[in-house]
Amino acid sequence: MVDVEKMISEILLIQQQVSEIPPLALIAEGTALLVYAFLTWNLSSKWRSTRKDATRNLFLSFTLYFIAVLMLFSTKTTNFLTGDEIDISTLGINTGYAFSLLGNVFLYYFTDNIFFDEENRKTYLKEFITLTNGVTLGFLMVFIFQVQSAPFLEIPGTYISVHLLIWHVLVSTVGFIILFVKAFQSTIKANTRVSRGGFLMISFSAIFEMLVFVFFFLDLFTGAGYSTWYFIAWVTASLAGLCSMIGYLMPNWFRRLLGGS
Amino acid sequence: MEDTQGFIGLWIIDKDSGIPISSFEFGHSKTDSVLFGGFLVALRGMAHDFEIGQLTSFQTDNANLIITGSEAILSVIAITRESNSDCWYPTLVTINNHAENFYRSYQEKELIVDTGVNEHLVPEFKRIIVKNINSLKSNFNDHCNSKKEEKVADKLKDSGLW
Repeated sequence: MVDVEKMISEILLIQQQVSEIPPLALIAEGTALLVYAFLTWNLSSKWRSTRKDATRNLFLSFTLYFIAVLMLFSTKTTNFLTGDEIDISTLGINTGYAFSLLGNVFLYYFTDNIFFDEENRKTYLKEFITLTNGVTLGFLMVFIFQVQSAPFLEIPGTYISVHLLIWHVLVSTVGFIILFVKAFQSTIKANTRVSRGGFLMISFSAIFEMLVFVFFFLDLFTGAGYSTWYFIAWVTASLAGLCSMIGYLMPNWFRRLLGGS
Repeated sequence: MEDTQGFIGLWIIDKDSGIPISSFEFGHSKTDSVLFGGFLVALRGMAHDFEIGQLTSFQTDNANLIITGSEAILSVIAITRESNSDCWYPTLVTINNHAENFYRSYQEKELIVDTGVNEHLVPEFKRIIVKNINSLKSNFNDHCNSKKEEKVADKLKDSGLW
C-alpha cells in the first residue's frame, strides 16, 4: 500500500515537471504520423491486391517512413508526458533516421521499377544507393547503441553527428533527385492532364522529401533546438505525404478535378 | 547481345489454317511455329465466337504481341513490354504486305508453300527489321519518347497504383 502511494506521488511529481519539448512539436509530428499512417494503409491494400514488385517497394518505403515518424512521435510524447524524466527522444531521433534511410532505399527501388527499363537503366546505381545507405546505417548504429561504452545499450545515447547528418542528406538527395528528374520528365511529356497531374505530384513529393532532410539538418546545424527549421521540416514531411498520396494513389477527386473519368 | 530495340520475333501464318508461312527470330529460333500458328488461329476464333472484336494484340509478362492481317495471311510481331508498339506497327504492315504478295503469287500459281521456299522471305524480313532497328536507334528521342511516358503511366496502372 505504501509502495502504491509512493508510486502515485512520483507520477504526480513527474507530471509537475515541465518538458523542454514544445507542444507544437507533438502536434506537427502527430499530423505527419496520421498522414503517413493513412498512406501506408492504402498502399498495403494496393499491394495485397496486385502483388507487384513496384507496389511492394513503395509500400515498404512508406511503412518504414511511418515507423520512423512513429518512433519520433512516441519517444517525444514519452519525454513530454514525463517532463523529460524518461529521456528517450534522442533514441527516437536516431532510430527514426535509421528507418527513414531504409525507406529511401526502397523508394529508389520503386523508382528503378517504374521509371527505368532495360534500355536506360543505369548500371550499378541501385547497388550504389543501397551500399551508401548501408554505410550510413552502420555509423548510425554507433549513435543508437553507444557501442563504445559499457553497458552496451546506453539510453538515451547522443545525437547523430553533424558529419554523419551531412553524409545522410547527400546520400538521400541522390535518390530523391533521380526520382524528381524522372517524374518531372514524365510530367512534361505526358499526353493527358491526369497523367501530367499525377507525375507532377510525384515530382513534388520527391522535392519535399528531400527538403525534409535538409531542414532537419539546418535545425541541427543552427543548434538552437526546436528552431523554425524543425517545424518547417515537419510541415514539409506532411506535404510530402499528401503529394505522395495524390501522386501514387491518384484519388478519384483528383482525377475528376483534372477532367478524367 | 545485339541491340534489337525490343524486337523478339516475327511470324507469318496462313489466316484460315494457321499453317506457318515463315518466321524470323535473331539467333536461334526458339518458337514452334506450327504450334504458335494453331494457337493464334484458335485465339482469333474464340474472340470471334465471343463477339468481342478482332484480336489485334495480346500481352505476356515480358512481351507485347501485335497482330495485323490481310486477305490470306496474318503477321505477328513480338516485342518487349518496354518497347513502343507504335514504333513497330508500320514495320509489321510493310512486312505483312510483302508476305501477302509473295503468298498470293504462289497461290495463283497453285504452288504449295513449303519451308524451303519460305527461306527466301527471311533475308527480306531481316532487311526490313534491321532498317527499322537502325531508324529507331537514330531517331529514338524524336520519334518514340513521347510514347515512353505512356509506358511509365502504364507501369503505374499495372502496379495497381493509378
